[in-house]
Amino acid sequence: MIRIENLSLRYSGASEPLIDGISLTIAKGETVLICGPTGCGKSSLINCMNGVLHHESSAQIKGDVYINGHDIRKIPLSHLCTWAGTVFQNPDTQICSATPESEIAFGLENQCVDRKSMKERIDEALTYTGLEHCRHQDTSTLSGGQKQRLVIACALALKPKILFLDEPVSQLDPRGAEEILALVNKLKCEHAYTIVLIEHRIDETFLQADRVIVMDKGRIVSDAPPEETLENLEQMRELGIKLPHLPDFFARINRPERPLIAHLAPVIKVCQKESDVRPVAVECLCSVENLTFGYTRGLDIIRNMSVKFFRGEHVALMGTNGAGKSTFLHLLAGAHKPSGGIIQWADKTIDTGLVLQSPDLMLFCETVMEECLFAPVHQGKTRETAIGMVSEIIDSMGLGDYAEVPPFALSKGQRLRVAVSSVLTKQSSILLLDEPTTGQDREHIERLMCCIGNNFELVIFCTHDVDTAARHADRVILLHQGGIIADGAPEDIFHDIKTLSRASIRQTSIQQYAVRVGSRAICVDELVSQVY
Amino acid sequence: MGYFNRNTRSPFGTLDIRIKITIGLSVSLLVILVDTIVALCTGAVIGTLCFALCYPNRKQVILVTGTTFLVVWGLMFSQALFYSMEPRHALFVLIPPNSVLKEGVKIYYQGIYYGAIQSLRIIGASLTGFAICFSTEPDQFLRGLISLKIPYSLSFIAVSAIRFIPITAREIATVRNAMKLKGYKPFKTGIVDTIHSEIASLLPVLAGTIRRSQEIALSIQTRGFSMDGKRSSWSDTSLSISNVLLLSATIITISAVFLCKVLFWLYQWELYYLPQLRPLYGFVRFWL
Repeated sequence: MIRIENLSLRYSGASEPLIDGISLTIAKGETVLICGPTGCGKSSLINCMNGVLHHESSAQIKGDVYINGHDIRKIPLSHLCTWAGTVFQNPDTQICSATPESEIAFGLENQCVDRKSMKERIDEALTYTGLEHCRHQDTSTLSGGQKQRLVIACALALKPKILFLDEPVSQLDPRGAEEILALVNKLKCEHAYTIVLIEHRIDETFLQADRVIVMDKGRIVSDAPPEETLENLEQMRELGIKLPHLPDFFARINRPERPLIAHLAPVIKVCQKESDVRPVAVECLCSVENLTFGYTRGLDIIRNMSVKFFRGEHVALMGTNGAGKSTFLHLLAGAHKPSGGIIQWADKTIDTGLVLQSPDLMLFCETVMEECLFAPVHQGKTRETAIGMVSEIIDSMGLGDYAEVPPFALSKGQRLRVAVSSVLTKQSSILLLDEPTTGQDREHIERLMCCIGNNFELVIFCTHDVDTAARHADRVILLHQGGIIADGAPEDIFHDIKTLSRASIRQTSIQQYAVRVGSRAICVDELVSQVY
Repeated sequence: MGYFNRNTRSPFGTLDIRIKITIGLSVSLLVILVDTIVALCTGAVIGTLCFALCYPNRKQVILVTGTTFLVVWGLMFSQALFYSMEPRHALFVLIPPNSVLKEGVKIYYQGIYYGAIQSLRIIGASLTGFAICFSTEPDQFLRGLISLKIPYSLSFIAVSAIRFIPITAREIATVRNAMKLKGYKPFKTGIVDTIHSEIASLLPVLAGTIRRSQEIALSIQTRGFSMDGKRSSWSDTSLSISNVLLLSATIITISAVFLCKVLFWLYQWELYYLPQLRPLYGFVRFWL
């Protein structure tokens, strides 16, 4: 179906090729999962396969790509989309029409499909993706999962045989991600689509793949069926790729099995350790009482919320999109004024630092050093007095070598760390992070959390990533429709399936397995430590 | 309930985009053509009516009222100060004549009147424009522009730009918020630093805009869009009878006003005169 011969890609001005001599064949009906660290060339590979880079880019491309035996250079791009559909990460920048119906029609109009056939194909695509009830709904009001399903519907309406999915669930909440992965599975099982999928959330996608390709620095370092790939988990770990939890666990306890599904995994005897004695949180730093807030009168996002935060806590806020997580963080940061209730800080001198969901919007200076000097200088310090403290912080965040580099020239993970550093230099004692894990690979997340360490008196972060919350939070708060539905220790929250499902969160495979072996562990590290 | 809400189900919003564009162009032409207070007020009333019939929300009303007030005040005040034609008489003397300002600074009655006339021209056109913006989805705009025979690719680019205005506005607000949270206050660290910071604040927005346009370009290319490609159309372009009647009435009215004014100008410039048209000349002189 797809054949790549010795493909290389280099952007003008780049010293190294982004894709370096890749040869690959993908058979009809195969589902291929491509994984690798951020910037290893996965997305570029997809954009070579779908023809966009060959037809529209000025990058130097060597080697050939064939689809159905045809050299894609010789097929117009407008025709290639009927052979292969592409779905990208961000549904918001892929939708350009006001309603799902007209959005699907857009691609069909480009193919000069007549109105009668267009109607049939739109109906079919909407029904298949479960969007028929929102045919005339304003696309901006669709949920993240619905938007991404719409993008898939647009691709399906053109009746391709191949589907390229470039991190389709990375920006979705757990409910949206589940919807998309179920749809991908349906396409694979019912219609034998050839699917090429890039994803960081490997635990959820590994099961669906017939083959797993691991990339690093523009090369394929492993190309094998999932079972064989699991034999070499060490290589994936070294590359900073998130590993599927169960195989990771079994590898770390030196067992030969590599199960992917909790109920099929052999039962291992574990010693349920007493929970670590948590330091009793006594000093309340922040007390929120009956907090209410809405952007529009009569439409409250936060409803009558009461909660206390204590010194030394790392708190994860979880819940579906629209549950009020980001709004709550903004209220804590003082960026919005509550319409009801109060937020009482223990000390009036306490300062909060908020890292936004898009850290790029926090970077407006010419160099990393200037970025980090911005807050102290605007707080009244002189550059000379601030520079020592700023340099120390930059070093502690692992950015010492980049002090004079423009922030936009750094990688996504580094940019996030610059944003955190710029908050740290404000000498805030409270750090608020709005979805810091979105689109970040495991190494970046670990590095960020490691850098944050104990630099703050209180860290509150919202995330959709259950594993990150399990590993880095000592308290989890579940939000649903602007209110708190659960608040407690991670092991209590992540083993309360009923409450989790109310917040549209699913246990990870390791948590499901822990239940099966009678443990309350919530992450691989913890379960490994409980094995006899 | 924001500035960018589109009230497509309002009476004005349910009109076909071609009629909205025609009404917009007609009101704009009308306020340019006519000179009498009555006719200009009619243009302003039509604009206000269109705006009211698009059921604007509170924020939109505040935005439009504020903008209109600033335009009217600016025009009337500037004309009152700098009106230079004769005859003119001063209502107030702000600065008496002196060696530097030989005529002093005065508020002229005729200037206020002239400013009011110019304001009426702007009010009519701008309110109709606001009504169209607040009641039309980008998709409808696209269809409207195509029906006006503007090339699809250009129409698509224009409409995509409109579609992303709210997102860009949100990003600007986010960047300003981030600056505020980092302790930024304009002029706190001096004017040079403020100018520097204000310019710098555009950087992430620009970067975001470029990234977004690349993403959307990639997305539409993978769905077969090309600048010069042929396309079919999903939308039904036929007009209902009521829409046809409204469209015809608008075109006939504006054409009649245009014709009357042309005949009057020809008579005024002594290029063409017809005694039978004397009632029309009188009508134009007093009413248009």
